[in-house]
Amino acid sequence: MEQIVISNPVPTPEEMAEIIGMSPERVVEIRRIMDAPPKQTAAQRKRATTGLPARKSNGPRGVAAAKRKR
Amino acid sequence: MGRGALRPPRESDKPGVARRKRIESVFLNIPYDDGFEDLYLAYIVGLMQLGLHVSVALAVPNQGRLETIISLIEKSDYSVHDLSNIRTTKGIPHFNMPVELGLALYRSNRAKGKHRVFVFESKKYRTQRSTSDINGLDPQIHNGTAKGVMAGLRNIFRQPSDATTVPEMLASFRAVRRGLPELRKRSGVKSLFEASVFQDLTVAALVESQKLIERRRQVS
Repeated sequence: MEQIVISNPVPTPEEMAEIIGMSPERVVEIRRIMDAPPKQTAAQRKRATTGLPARKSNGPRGVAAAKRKR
Repeated sequence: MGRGALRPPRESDKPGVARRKRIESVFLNIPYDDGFEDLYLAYIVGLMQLGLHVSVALAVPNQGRLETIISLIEKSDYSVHDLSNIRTTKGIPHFNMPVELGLALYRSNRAKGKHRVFVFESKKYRTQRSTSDINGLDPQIHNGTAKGVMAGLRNIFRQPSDATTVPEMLASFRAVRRGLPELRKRSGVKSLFEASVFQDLTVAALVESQKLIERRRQVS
């Protein structure tokens, strides 16, 4: 199949906003949302503060394993 | 208007106002189904990053809907039809996708190929059985994944410099998806299939595209 070459360059967000009738303020808002750093999960936050890998809180360490042995 | 004929002055004729180049457009025909949100987002991000303007029939009331769809197809250079979502409601199948595909095929025939039609499916050889009249169209198979959609779009369209790659498109897709909760919150809607969110998504895809272009400039 022959590929179609798109002749126009990729429009900027501002150019597209003008075409679709979006306000410049809204574009600024979308830029802010897209530039925000990704939110950390609870596990990632714990790892960042303690340096330890996050673990599910299923009681004191070793208790569950001891029960299983019994 | 003949050569040398006078025409009324345009806004772009004023000094300092650059005339905007026409952006090629695609009519996107997909099911507006919650289970289809990821692929919907993949189509928008992929098409926008290839430099195309996407039209969809969102927020169109039932009365006059057909006329709106015909008008959107007429104004578009291409149309993309996803036939992968075969579903029924209480035993009644949904035929809107094939109807819109038929309208686009008629338009393509009348426009002598100026309007190009492309079909996407999730399973190989299914359209040959479900819609055998379009056997010559060679559908793109996306396997129900965003990556498959991007690869299909890149099979069809390319930029002169062949710039945007599928991994880059996927990275942008993930970035826009991360921004979805905030974009939804700002628009005050839950569904992605709302006109206001659609507009935000198109601009968000271009924000990511601009970041890619900047990164490429810095590397070269």
